[in-house]
Order: sequence, then structure tokens, then C-alpha cells
Amino acid sequence: MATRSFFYALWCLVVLGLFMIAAIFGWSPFAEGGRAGRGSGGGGTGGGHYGYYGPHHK
Amino acid sequence: MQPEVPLAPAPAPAVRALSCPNCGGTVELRAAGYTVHVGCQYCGSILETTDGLVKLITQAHLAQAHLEIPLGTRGTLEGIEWEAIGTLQRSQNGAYRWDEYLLFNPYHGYRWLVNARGGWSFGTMLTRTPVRRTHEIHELDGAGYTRFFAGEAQVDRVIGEFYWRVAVGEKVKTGDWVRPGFMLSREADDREESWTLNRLIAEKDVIRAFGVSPSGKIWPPLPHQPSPWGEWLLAGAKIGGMALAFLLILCVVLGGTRWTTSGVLPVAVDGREQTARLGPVTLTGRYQRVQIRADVPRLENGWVDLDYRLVDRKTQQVYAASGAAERYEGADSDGAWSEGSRNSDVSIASVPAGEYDLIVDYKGNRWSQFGTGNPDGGWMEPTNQPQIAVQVGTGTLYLSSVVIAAILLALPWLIGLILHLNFEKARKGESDFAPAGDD
Repeated sequence: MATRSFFYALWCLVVLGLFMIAAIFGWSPFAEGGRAGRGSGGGGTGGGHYGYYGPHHK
Repeated sequence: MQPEVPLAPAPAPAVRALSCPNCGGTVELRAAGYTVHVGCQYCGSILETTDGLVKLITQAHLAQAHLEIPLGTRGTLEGIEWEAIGTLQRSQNGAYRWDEYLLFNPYHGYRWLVNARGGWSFGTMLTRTPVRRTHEIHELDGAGYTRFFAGEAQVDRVIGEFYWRVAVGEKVKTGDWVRPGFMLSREADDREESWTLNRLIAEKDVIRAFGVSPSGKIWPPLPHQPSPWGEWLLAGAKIGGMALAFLLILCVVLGGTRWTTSGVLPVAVDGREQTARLGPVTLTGRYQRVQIRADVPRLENGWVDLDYRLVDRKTQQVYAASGAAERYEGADSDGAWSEGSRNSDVSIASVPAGEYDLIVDYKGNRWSQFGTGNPDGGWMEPTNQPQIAVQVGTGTLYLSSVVIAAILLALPWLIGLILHLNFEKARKGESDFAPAGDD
């Protein structure tokens, strides 16, 4: 197998591996929320803004 | 005692030396018996050697030329030892110069070693004529060659010996047809037509054989230079295709959301903040994505703030997220408009197995009141009984992860494709038959 093809196959394996790990842990960099401080009332990392939105209309 | 008698006559010298009638320089004949014309390497004069005598055909007074391959150098290409016996410098009427070295082996005859812009080709004279298939294509041994050049080539310098009568200034009509790695060259004058098949050879092979200097990157590419990405694109398409197919199978197997818990939350019409609890939400997977969907069916010209806390009943670990449902509509000088959605979808990543309560902090908001330019439609009026329907579900995959993985899988191949197209554009841009607009 040519070197270039070998490295591309390796790259595909790495990407698919990372995808599988993300799937196993139900993880995404674009998730709106995640783990926050223990027993906190929200806020903290990964969510809980406790402010108020909008309006965001034109 | 018997006298010593030679068993066989002494072998003839491999090289015969002549004296140039013009400059007196010693000119060596390496293919004596075959050579017709020889160019003096010291003064450039052309000598004829056919009848045993040396005749001065063309007198010249050139400075000694520096040759990439000195005549007499022997080197092995394709397992055969060749000797460089002559060299021509040629051009298209003074432009686009290239060098041709005539190689000789007494058992295999003559070959050409052509150096154009640092790229080397090994040329074999053809004893058959390629077949003209179309205006664009010639065919030889089942392979098609696309026309690339057409013009006139002239001889600018002659050094060494040749099997035909060659002279500086000699011109022939030329045509070249190419396929990756090969160039079919036609030369014709009033008397004859000849065809040569040139095969591009690796520079390292010529360096190893004749000790030439490395030339570096050739750009724009040679007419018959194969794209360094072309072959890999085919192999890469198979590898990338298999990886994408595997990704698709994973999506089918692992995709989707299983909705497990739901509830309806009344919205206070006075706009105060409220809190509600849904549960228990039982998560069975080791880790999962938790999807929370809120639907506000009567929402119009207003918004609902939503803050979620998923609290593990056992450990009190909190997983939090925020969202909002917003919906607006009205009319302005452009006409009626509407924007936003009555739904809100948020996800919480990497939630471990357990039994959870979902705490929802929410607050309904009016954007406008009756009598303003954008009436709210009364969505928070008591008679409307505004409410929020909340659903909780679990899943494994994120669409964003699938998209990112697909992009990352395809990216190297797409980069290869862009480089290949760029290479081919530059290569074809050199053709005499390039479409207008190509450089």
C-alpha cells in the first residue's frame, strides 16, 4: 500500500475511533449542556444561564 | 618449443579518434561505422565521417559547451548500459529550449534521453506509425494519446556523433501527444516522418546512471507528467468511501432519540418565574445524550426562558442546560414577517446512568401588548391557559459529531482533489491546444 494511502487509512481509523468514543460517552462539542457543580442551582459549566433571553427578533 | 601464435586478431579499439579539421581538437567516434555526422565538442563544427575521411560540413567557433552529461559517459537505464555519444540543443524557434542526448549500445541501438525544464524522458524511436483516432487522439498499442503541442523545432547546437546528417538551424515540423507518463512525438520534414515514444523517468534514475545535477521542482508540470495525486485519489476514494459507509452504518445503528418522560407546565400569566419538577427520569445507558424538548403551542410575540437541571437523586450531581422558545410576527414596509420557533431543543452531553429529577425554571414573556404595532395575539392571557409541553429523551449520537466526522474523513481526499485539479490545470495550460483563458 502506498504511503499516502496508508496514512489516509490511518487517519480514517483515528477519526472513526474518536467518533466511536464520542458516541460511547454521548459527547459532542456542540452540546448545549453538560455536567455542572454538584448540587448547585444551575449555572456552572456547560449550561444554566439563569438570565433571560430575547427578544431576538428583527 | 612452439612459437607463440595469436589465437585471434586483436579486438578493434572501441573508440576511434579524429582530428577536427577546423580547430584541431580530438573528436572521438564511439559508434564508428554507424555515425554519419559528428559535432566537434570544442568548436561546434559539423564533420562527416562516412567515407573514412573527415569532411568539414559546417565551420563554427563555439565556446566549449557545458554538458549535463559529458559525451562518453556510460550509465545504466532499464538494466542496459548506454553511452552518451551526441547531444542536440533544440528549441521552438529560439524559445522553450530542451536538450536531447543520443545514447548508444551496440546490441540495443540508439535511444534518446531528453531533458526539458529539468524533467527527463527516455525516448525510443518507433518503427510503426501510431493510428490517428480523432482530431485529438492518436493511439499506439491500445493506449490513447491526447494532442498537446504542435509547432516547429530547430537545432541550435550539435555536439557529438549522429546516425543522420544533422546541422545547426535544421528545422522540422513537430507534434506531441501525451498520456500520463508518456509522450508520443512526431517529427516531419519534406523527406520523412519519424515517431518517438518518450517515457518520463524519475530524476533519481538519471542521477544514478549519469550523475546529473538535481533540478528541483518542475513547475508548471511537464506535458506528460502524471499528477502526483491522481493515482492516490482512486485509492483514497475507496478508503474514504469505506470509512463513510461505516460511519453511515453507525448512524443507522446508534442514531435516534428514545422519549421516556414528559410533562405539561402551566405558564403564569403575570410573568413571574416558576419552577417545576419532572421525574423520575431513568437513564439506563452507561453514558448518554439527554434531549429535552419544550413546545409552547400558543406562543406568539413573546418568549419563554427555560433553565434545566438534571439532578442525580443518588449523588445530587447536576447536569444543566438552558434554552428558549421565541416566536415573533408582525408587518412592516416589506410586508408581513414572522420569525423564531415555538419549540426549543437542548441536549445535555455525557450523562451517566441513574435516576434523575428534571428541574425546570421557566418564565413566560410578552414582547408587546395590545394596541402596539405588534399585538402579541394574547398568548399570555388567562383565557389562553398558556403552557409548555416538555419531553425528555435519551440517545447516543449527535448529528454535529456525525457531520464533523464526515468532514474530517473526506477532508484529506478533498485537499488531494484540489491539488490534483490545480496540477492538471497548470499542466494543460502549457498546451498549444489549451482552451482560451488558461495560462
